[in-house]
Amino acid sequence: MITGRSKMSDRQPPTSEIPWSGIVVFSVIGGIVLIGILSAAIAGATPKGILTNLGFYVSIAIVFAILALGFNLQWGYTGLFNAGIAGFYLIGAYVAAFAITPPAPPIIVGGVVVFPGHLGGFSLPLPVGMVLAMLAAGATAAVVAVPALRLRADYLAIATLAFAVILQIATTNLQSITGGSIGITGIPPPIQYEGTDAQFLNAMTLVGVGALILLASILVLQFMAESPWGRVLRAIREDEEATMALGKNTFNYKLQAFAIGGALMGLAGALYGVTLGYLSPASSFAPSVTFSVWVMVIVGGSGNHRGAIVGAFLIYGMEWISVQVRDQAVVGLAANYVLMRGVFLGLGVDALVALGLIFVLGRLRPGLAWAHPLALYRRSAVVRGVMLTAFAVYGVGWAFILVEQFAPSAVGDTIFYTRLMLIGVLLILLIVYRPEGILRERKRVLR
Amino acid sequence: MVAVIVIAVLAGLAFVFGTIILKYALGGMVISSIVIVAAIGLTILYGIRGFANFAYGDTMTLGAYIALVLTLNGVSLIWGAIASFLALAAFGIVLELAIFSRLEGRGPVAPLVASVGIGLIIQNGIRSVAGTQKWLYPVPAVQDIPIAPGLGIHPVRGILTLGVGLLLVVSSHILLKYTNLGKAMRATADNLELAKATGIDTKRVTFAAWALSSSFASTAGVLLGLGSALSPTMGFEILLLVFAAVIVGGIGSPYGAMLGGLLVGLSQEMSVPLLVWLERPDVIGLQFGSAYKVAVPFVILILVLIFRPWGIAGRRPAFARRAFFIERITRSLGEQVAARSKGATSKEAIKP
Repeated sequence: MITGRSKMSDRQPPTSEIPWSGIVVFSVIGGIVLIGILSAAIAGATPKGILTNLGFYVSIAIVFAILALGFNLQWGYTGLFNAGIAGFYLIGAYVAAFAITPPAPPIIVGGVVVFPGHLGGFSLPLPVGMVLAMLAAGATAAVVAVPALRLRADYLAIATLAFAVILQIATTNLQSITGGSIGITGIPPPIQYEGTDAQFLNAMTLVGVGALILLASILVLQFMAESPWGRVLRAIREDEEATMALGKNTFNYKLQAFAIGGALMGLAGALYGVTLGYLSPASSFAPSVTFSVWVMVIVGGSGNHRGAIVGAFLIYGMEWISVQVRDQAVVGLAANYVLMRGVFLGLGVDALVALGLIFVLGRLRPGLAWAHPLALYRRSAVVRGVMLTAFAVYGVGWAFILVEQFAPSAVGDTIFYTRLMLIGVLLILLIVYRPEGILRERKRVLR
Repeated sequence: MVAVIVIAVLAGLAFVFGTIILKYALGGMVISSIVIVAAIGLTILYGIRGFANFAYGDTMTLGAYIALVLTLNGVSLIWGAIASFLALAAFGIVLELAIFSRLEGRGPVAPLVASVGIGLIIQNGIRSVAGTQKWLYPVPAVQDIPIAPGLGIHPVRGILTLGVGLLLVVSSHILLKYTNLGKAMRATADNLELAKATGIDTKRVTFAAWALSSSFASTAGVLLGLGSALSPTMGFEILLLVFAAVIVGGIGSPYGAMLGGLLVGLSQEMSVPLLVWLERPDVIGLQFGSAYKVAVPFVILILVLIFRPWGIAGRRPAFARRAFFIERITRSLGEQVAARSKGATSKEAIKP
């Protein structure tokens, strides 16, 4: 085994020892946390408030990480492109909520439904609710998979998307079962705290519970992916017909991968309900959730668990930061609007003028040919970085002007939507230039 | 033929249920004509480029908003729609040049993901520029034209939409059937390699498909905005309906898309009386039954995907998949056996 690996490594091109992609990823996540803390500090939050906020970020990011792990098992390992992530997520969330909430009878005043209530209300403990959620979502995934897995990748995507949309419509309208568009409120947290610190303690507990569940899922998935079972899944992804020809019943393997992935999504749903304390079908389970999870897995790198988790923290971090900036920092930003515009434009103009001067100098004296901007640009990475930064700063200044011109009252909203546009740009760039994601799947070499 | 059957069925329905059913049928026809225009564009691109364009709904929104911006600046809606038609044709070609030509030969999922990215950019770009509020086209206030007691049709929302839909269906039929470009498109959609081998410039065909598809999206978007109001998510909300029409009709077949669009639109609107009947407490007591009309086309879509994945009008593939696998596996096993039996002699023959 060892000799085999060393022989193969001779043939592979030498790779750098420093894990640049990992460093970049973790510094970006660090930056996200830092900006979050800063914008909360600008708005004048207490340290405990900031920590509660950060805890919320981490626990929702963990929910998305579990979703991404489920999708990674389906797509990254087996090659099944599921577009109904939101559907399985919804099933898990609602089943867990039915199980663990206290009874909620409908309130009807004079024939008018004031509060629709919902099914269940069994007040079961949280772990039971989570297991039930996993079972329900996994079973649904298996039922959906039996017809859907016979389809080609893009048909599978459309069929599962349709399934998720039907489920969302049904959830919104079956008022007596799901609470309709009002949703389910009062989902109990893992531990009920009392007093002024309740919110802070609750956030910390949720982070702990989420981290435990994430760790357990990673361990189980790692074991499964490294087992012969996981090897068959990867073989199906690479060449299904060849795997069939080796005597494997590929349909059964695909079904199992799809169902286990669905069960993980259900688990994520259960955790989501507990984290938020309420469920509403309108936005939490929209198709955009599915797209977010795709982005997470593609950005992080499909086919490895680290990639899925890192992608979740990164992409949800972008979302969280945009909300933080919108809600907290924009207030401070708007006050200093003119100043910031002036600073950015001024710096940018100065930098551009400097570049122009260098250019003119390079033209005047033949001995200074190296001072030509293009020559400088090619000369060193540092100069290249400085020049690009100058242009970027100038561009930011212009962005301020454009936003002021077109949407003066909606600076915060623009930041919020620009984040989604940025995700779109990231998706396209990655799929074109680096389809394996930031953290690529380890090359497995067999002899 | 089809028209005669449709009219006969409608007359029969009206005889049994009264003219109220014709109201739903008419609504269904209007929705259908929008879906058909969109589905023709989507299916042409699907057939030639081989991937599901998830940005198609947002392309429709973009077309509608381009026309809106022009009408707000004093251009009449018809010229606005024509300008948006041309602008989106160029937009489609730019998309192919900038992004999708780089993803050729990477399977159906990579371009699908890229198209989701484009959809996100368009949708949120519109949100941040035009805001999330609803916009209306400046349509003159006119009364419905009565056809029968209790049944009327709006001159703009009804007749104009139906007319434009019919015009685009007929013109796409002429394009596909009688022009060289259309024939080349059908050939490329049928078999890319064979089309290349016969000397068709498939690059040009791809660009034409993008232009046609995006410009049809623009018109569908304008019609959609005409029917109700413009919102940043209006295209994405109807996208699954268009997909349903495309798949029900058979991917890559424009005539199938017409049939599929008709089926999807009519089933959505005409299921309303059924759903209202289900709302009655003595039947099931379904709450908000008519909200489920949106789900009816998806149920049809899923049924078609399970039982006839090649579509109701499409051709069944020459080999059923399973038979194909079995043949392939037996062949490869046979080759292995043959190689093993010949193994000893051939090895010696190769060795010097």
